[in-house]
Amino acid sequence: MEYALKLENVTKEYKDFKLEHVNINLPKGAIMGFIGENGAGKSTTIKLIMDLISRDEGTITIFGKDNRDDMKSIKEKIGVVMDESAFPENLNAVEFNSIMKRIYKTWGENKFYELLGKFSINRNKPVKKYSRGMRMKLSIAAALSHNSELLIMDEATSGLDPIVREEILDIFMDFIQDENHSIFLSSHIISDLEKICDYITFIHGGKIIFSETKDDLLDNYGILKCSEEEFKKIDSQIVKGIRRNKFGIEALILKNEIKGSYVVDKASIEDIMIFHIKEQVQ
Amino acid sequence: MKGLIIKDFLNLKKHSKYYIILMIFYFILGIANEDFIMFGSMIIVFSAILPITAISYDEKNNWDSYALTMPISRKDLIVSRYILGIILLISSFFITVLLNVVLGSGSYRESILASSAILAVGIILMSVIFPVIFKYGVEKGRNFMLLIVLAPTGAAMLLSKFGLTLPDKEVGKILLYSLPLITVAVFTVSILISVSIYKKKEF
Amino acid sequence: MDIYNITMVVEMKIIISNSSGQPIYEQIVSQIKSMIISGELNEGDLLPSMRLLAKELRISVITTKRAYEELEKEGFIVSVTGKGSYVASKNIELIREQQLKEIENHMQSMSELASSCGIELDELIEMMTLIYKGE
Repeated sequence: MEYALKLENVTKEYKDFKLEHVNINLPKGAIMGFIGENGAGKSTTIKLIMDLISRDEGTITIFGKDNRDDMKSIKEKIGVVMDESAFPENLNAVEFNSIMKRIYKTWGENKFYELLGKFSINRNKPVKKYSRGMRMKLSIAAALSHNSELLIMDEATSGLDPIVREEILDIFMDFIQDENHSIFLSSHIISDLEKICDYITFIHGGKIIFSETKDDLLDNYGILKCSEEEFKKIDSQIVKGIRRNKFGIEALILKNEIKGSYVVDKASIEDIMIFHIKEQVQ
Repeated sequence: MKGLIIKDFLNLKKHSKYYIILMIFYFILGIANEDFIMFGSMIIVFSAILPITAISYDEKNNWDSYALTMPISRKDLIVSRYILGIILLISSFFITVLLNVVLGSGSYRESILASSAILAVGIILMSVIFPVIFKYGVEKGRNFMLLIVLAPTGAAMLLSKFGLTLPDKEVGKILLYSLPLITVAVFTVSILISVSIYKKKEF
Repeated sequence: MDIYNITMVVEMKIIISNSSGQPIYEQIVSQIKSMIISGELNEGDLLPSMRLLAKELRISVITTKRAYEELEKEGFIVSVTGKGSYVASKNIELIREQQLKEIENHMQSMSELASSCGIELDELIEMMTLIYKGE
């Protein structure tokens, strides 16, 4: 199996935060959603991948090469969108294009303008007059305008309205039609990820809590609703998180392992994430 | 590299109108006096300031973090700024020399010598300030620059207070002839320091 | 070596439900299967690629891949690397076997339900006869 992105045992320590033993495997041709609360380590992980900050331990390989060797040629094939877009504010898209085409060997000016057209971005307007949504779209257009094989998106859709988000998810789906293309997408808008991701990796407090196929997560987990007494009878091995309210218990369980008839609802990815955090608190 | 320099020129385009107006003023002054020494000094000063302005734009936009996601190395980011400075300084030098030769009076040799000395000082100034900016940011860099510009005057005042005189002509001549060497040395060391600062920097 | 029609991808109608208890890949498998059995899809027809199907249905490629693998395992389709997935030659035996298995499953649930509410075998047979004849 070829991996577009592979993190092995990556650790990074700060004074008040530690990213520990992070393992992530993104196979080629797949979309991986990277979820976690704010401050869980998502941006730190992405910065480590891009070599913006240096790791204390572990290895990171992109397209099979260590991200410290020959990063320049690797970066030709990566399209990155980070949360705070960093364009020269006084410039417009045309000027931006003239810069980018001298930075990327495979920059496609036509493709760039085509995407700007699709996004209804006025190419003569200075970036400082853009709305947040337009900035995101510009970043995404730039990420797609050279021969990217891997898209890395850090909160690319937050702050955007649902219609724009839908457009962008469509673009990602188009991108992935080529089986050499992969996407690594971090977001706290989990409903977006639930739609298009193949894999979901959940990070919390600097540690990876789970990394599974989305299908397995949705097929295996369920939310059990019952009373305290009924709950006592249940095998604790299959319980992954509990929420108690005045009238009973909600528990995240492995729904295929439960015996007997109980009320078990579908668990969304968001539910799975929240219950896992609650489990940590226990 | 080319892309980075173009970015800087595009960024500075709008900002430099102010400087161009000033330069026109000094140009007119120069024609009046048939001597472009003021013009030559000011244009070099501006050429040293503009790269710093370009860096401040990048700082405000957080450009460096974004640039590092592209096929740009930390070394590229540093070297492109030095190249920008050199382009501006050398262009200024040639413009000044040309004006003196075509429109000025007085010996060519003296004006070229004077312009060269100013160019050298400009390069040295840039070389001293850049590492400070790369390590501590533009704000602190500007403060440092103020310090450096005032230092020689301050030093001269101190010297006269203690009754010491400036070094004599012989020492002055040696200094002048070794200026090219000093300039190249300071410039080279500066780039090496700046590149190593950026290699360690976390974005 | 079988020759497959390298024509346009067939028009397929697939509707999946997120709220049905059945896993999505199973829904795809059963819908494609019935189209093949009913003759809506013919031998040699080229199915949409896994990726295209995933995109259009807005589901994961892993799901469509699993569905196609299941269909191939059961002999309904054949996947040719680099070309795509085609409807396999109709194996009448295989289909009949499938249908028999399905009937058996239904019968299993029927008899479990019947015995759980105390209905005897002959009563069950009577009911069955009426329903079958009623058709």
